[in-house]
Amino acid sequence: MLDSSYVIEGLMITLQIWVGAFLLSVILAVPVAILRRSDNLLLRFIGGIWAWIARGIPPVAWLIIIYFGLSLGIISEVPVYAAIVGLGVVNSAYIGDSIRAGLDAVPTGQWEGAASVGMNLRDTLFRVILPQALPVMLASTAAYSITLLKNTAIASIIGANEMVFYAYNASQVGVNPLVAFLTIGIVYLLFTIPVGLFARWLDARVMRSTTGVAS
Amino acid sequence: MTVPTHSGIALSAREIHKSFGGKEVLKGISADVHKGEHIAIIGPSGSGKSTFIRCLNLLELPDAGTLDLQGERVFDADRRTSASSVRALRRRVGMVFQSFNLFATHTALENVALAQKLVLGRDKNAARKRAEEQLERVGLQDHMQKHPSQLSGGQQQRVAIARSLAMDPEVILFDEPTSAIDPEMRVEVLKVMKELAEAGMTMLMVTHEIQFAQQAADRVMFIADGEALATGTPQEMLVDPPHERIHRFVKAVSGVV
Repeated sequence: MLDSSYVIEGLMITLQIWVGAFLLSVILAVPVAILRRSDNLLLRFIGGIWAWIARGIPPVAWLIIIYFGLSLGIISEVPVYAAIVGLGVVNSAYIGDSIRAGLDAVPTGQWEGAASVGMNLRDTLFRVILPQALPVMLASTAAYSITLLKNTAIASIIGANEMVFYAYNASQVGVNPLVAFLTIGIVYLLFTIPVGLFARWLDARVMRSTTGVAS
Repeated sequence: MTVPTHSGIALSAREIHKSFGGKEVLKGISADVHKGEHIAIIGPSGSGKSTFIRCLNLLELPDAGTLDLQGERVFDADRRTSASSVRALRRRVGMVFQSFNLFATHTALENVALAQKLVLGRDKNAARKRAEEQLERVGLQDHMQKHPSQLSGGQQQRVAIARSLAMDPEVILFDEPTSAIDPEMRVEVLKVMKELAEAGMTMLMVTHEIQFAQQAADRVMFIADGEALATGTPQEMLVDPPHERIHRFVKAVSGVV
């Protein structure tokens, strides 16, 4: 039988990678989105290249490249860190798109309205633009974060002892693989429920605010 | 109405040039707006009149030309323009847009109070009080807690006028303020604008409402192909146009066949 303490231990590592990679991707995504929305052609190009490379290389390749390739630094040797960095880079392109789409969803008239009364960039962003852009950003970000959660399974390839790693080891020592992987499959599923509900709730909020009913 | 000669110049634009992607939209337009004066800008679509008025509060940055407010140089295309000097100019020159551009997530009251607090540094109560006064002035005392999406076009535009007024601007620019509003609702906006004019507000209005221009404007400016073809009293410009091009335009927008 699959030892439940192993599942819990693996789950803890899975959550570490998930949350770590998510936070890193959000931090990276802000400059990526700014670059991609820039008026400057070169800056936009740099942002586009980042998104292209981050997305174009399969996540599993990213992890292996970072784990084995960038062995100069501190990231190597510790598979969990390598996984966080690798998945954080990949996800930054997607979150960057979310941020960009959120900002694009706000009509230029909102910027001009704020400009016409002399508001500065910071106030315009925080008081006028983000209240409208944030729900749009969060809805797609929540969806990407589910993909990110499932992608943490790849970390087992470089030896991070997350859930898949334990399930695989358990099946090597006699546990029925079907039982082992079904068990962790259910755990993944359970975690997508609150995120999915949150995304749906946000979606509904966005729909409501764009169809004219005041929130 | 005649051009007030007793008062000084509120806003002076000199030789404003603007190109978009190599196409010259403004070919050097100048205008002097006296204090308390109301100028209507008319002309065909795509003539550059909206671009011109947007240049006056630097929503578009002119490629060449200068702007003076009360005799003080506030913009010179030959010099570097800082973001703070752009904001300083916009504090003094109000703008009312064709599409209202009210803050979607704020109530009518908050729309009028927000910039007072953030830009002018007024305290919460003072900003609120002033917002209420201005909303009453435009006849919206019963709609202060509504969001823009719950208001008609005419009501939204009146909130936008109140938002601009609350900043105590020296000049208010109107960019086709009634074009996006149902004909029936236009009257309420035009009425507010007429009251403003009578109260002595300095106004520059891009408009297609010839009749309104005739009643409320001291001077009418005709822009075509990026140039100011002529400027004169409503009588001179609209009743007996000095130019065949203007004559044709006035006839067409008045619905005369």
